Amino acid sequence: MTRFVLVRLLWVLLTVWLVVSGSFVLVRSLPGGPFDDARALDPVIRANLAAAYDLDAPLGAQYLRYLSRVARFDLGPSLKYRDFSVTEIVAESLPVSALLGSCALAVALLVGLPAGALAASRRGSWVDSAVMGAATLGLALPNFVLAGLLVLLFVFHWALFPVSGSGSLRQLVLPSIALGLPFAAAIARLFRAGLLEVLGEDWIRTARAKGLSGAAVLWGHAARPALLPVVSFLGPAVAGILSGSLVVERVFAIAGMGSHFVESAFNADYNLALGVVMVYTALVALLNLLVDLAYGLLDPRIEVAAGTA
Amino acid sequence: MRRDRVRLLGAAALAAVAALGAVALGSRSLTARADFAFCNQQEIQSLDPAVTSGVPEARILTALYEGLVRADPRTGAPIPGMAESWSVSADGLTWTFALRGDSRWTNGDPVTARDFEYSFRRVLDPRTAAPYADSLWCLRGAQAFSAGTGGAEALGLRAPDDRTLVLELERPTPQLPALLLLAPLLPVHRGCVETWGREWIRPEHIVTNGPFRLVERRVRDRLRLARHEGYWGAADVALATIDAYAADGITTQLNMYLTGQVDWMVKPPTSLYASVLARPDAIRGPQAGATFLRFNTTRAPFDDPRVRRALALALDREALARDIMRGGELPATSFVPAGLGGYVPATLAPADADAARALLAQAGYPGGAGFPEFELLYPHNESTRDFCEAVAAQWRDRLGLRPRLVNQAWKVYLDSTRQLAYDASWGAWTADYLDATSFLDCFKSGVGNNRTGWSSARYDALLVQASGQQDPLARAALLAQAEAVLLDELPIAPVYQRICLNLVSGRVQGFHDNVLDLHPLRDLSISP
Repeated sequence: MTRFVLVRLLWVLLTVWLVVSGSFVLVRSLPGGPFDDARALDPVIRANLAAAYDLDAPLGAQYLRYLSRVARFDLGPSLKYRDFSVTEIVAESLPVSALLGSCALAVALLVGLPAGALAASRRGSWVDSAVMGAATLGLALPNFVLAGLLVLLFVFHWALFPVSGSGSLRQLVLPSIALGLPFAAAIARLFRAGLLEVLGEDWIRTARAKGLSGAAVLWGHAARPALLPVVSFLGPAVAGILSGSLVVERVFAIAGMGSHFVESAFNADYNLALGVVMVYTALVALLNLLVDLAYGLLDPRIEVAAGTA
Repeated sequence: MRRDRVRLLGAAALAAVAALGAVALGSRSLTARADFAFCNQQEIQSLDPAVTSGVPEARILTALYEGLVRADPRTGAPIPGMAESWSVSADGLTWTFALRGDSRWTNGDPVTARDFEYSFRRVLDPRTAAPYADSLWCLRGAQAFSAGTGGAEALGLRAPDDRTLVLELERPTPQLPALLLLAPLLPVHRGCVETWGREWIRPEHIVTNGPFRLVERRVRDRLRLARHEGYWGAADVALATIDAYAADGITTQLNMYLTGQVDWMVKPPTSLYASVLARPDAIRGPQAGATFLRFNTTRAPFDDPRVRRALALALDREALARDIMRGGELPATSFVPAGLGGYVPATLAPADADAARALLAQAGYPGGAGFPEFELLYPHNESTRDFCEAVAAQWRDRLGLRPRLVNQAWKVYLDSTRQLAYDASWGAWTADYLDATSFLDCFKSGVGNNRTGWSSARYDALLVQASGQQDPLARAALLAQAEAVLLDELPIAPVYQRICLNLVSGRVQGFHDNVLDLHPLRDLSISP
């Protein structure tokens, strides 16, 4: 088990290095640099800026210097937000995104799991069709439309929640719903499918034959193995949900990490773009590792330590 | 056993979420609404004036710091700030500023001429890498110092005593007071900068000299400012507290304004002009800014002035401003907008499709025949797209040309135009300071803002001549002659004058429309 985790952690490191190197090449081959502004800079000033931000060396040397800095957990200065290092920006924005993401995840699970169970237990009935119809709609509806609808209804029509910002629980409600509902829809569909598969198994029939009630069979026996598809979906999904959403953060003016993914590229803020990609990659890789470990807990037939590393 | 572990895992996850929530909420102290709150568009680049270059930055920095001059809230013109008065020598080369003796930094130190001597030198220092360093290159020895080829001791910058600052210039610069309004030239506190290094802009360290001081900074959320009692004009500052919100989304900004979370928002979405412009709280007026089409004069057929003239003459500027922009933009009659000090702009020839066709035929393309297909480049955005589509349609319908629209992300567009990798492009310029040179300097030979490859010895000579001219009227006349050269050769075809548009709550007083769109926070108040 320990060996498995260690080997996997090495793979995580390798993945991060590959992704960062690829991103370095991509971001540096973009036309337009961090110092291109509506007011063009004099060549003298451009050279001073390049020197100040260590962008005047040959690209290969810059890459090596960047890697050696990253190895010391220094992600460099932001080229746009001059008061902060990338590490500071990530440290400031990741918790904001993670808090919002956790709430959204709670919404997703609290809505998605019961909805999936309900649909599975009433398979073929109008309840099933209604739940799955809603789930399909939830998946199809882009979250900016959902966010807009929520603002229209709960900010302007019924003035129940503030329009933007972060810091209070009330400000978290709408963005959590906007971010969580599409995931709830996916979870509902996956859980329903998982349950239906499991409910057809022989051992479930045995449980029923023992005289257990429908609910006891569903939650007590079928739910755990039926969670497998949900869990494998949640691994990467949690990484995405925790590291922030461009759209939801923008609509609700939340200072999370999501907007950095897109804005840093548009701003040619090389260090910030690489920094957020690196954090995201590490998150995805680590959560996938957690998912693999969770498999063993959910289904005793899967032996983690024997799995290929 | 295993199920217990699942439960344990679930419980641990829930606890982690709860703890995270508590930490995140606890670390963000909740403050009551400030006297005045506004949307400052985006998170500012820095609280260090020297390294900034943008408008949202200037809004905050001019509240935290005050330069030698400050902006008149009605006109945007320079009026006495930390300098009570100033005088200029007969040759226009020596400027002497007399500082007030009664203003203090937030740490209690008096503001002196040495603070400005230090701050200006710091802006010019190559190690500071200030994007606006060149706005002080009129000082003797300044350009060499910025380039690292000259020493600080050769700078035309002296503080003979605490209340006198002397600037010695390389060449006469009558627009110097207007230039000194630029946010990057605001003073910083030497002791603070040198003690804390990179950390000096942290709220717990920062020392400022303006009408407000920094209370709290939540990155990409808000800045809280409070009145600074040591400021010389504190008695005139009505607002005790201000919140400046950073919100990227323009619709979000509008929502914040409409729900009363903020009292002021800049530039509501153009797609909502129909409903926004009719509102009584929409404050609107012409801006010292021009939108134009740019031609790459290094590429055929745009190297032929007749072609450029034909393309300019074919544009129905009236229709483009009225039907496409729809915000009250004024069709251009010149490149430099009217209303900049005493400047009277040169005149752009009125639209004339027949004359345009005749010129095009003269250039060898009768009815557009033989004119190569070309690209019209614009930065990606809805409003520039609509505008360029309309322009392309006019060129197609009136001249028989085949323009193809190409869009690029903002920085890529800037790079393409800088490298002259385009045929024709959308272009815009907004004045940095209240003087015609803020526009005309863009088209000097070889400067970065030129972006057209155009160069005219006569144009350059007229600008040099104007800068040596002490008499304001004669100077304005020379500048207008230079503009006439530009409007004759037309490396750019001006289309319309941009507008300032602000939504300002009825309870705010002292908010005036002006061409620089400057609204000093020190002069705002809230009606009881």
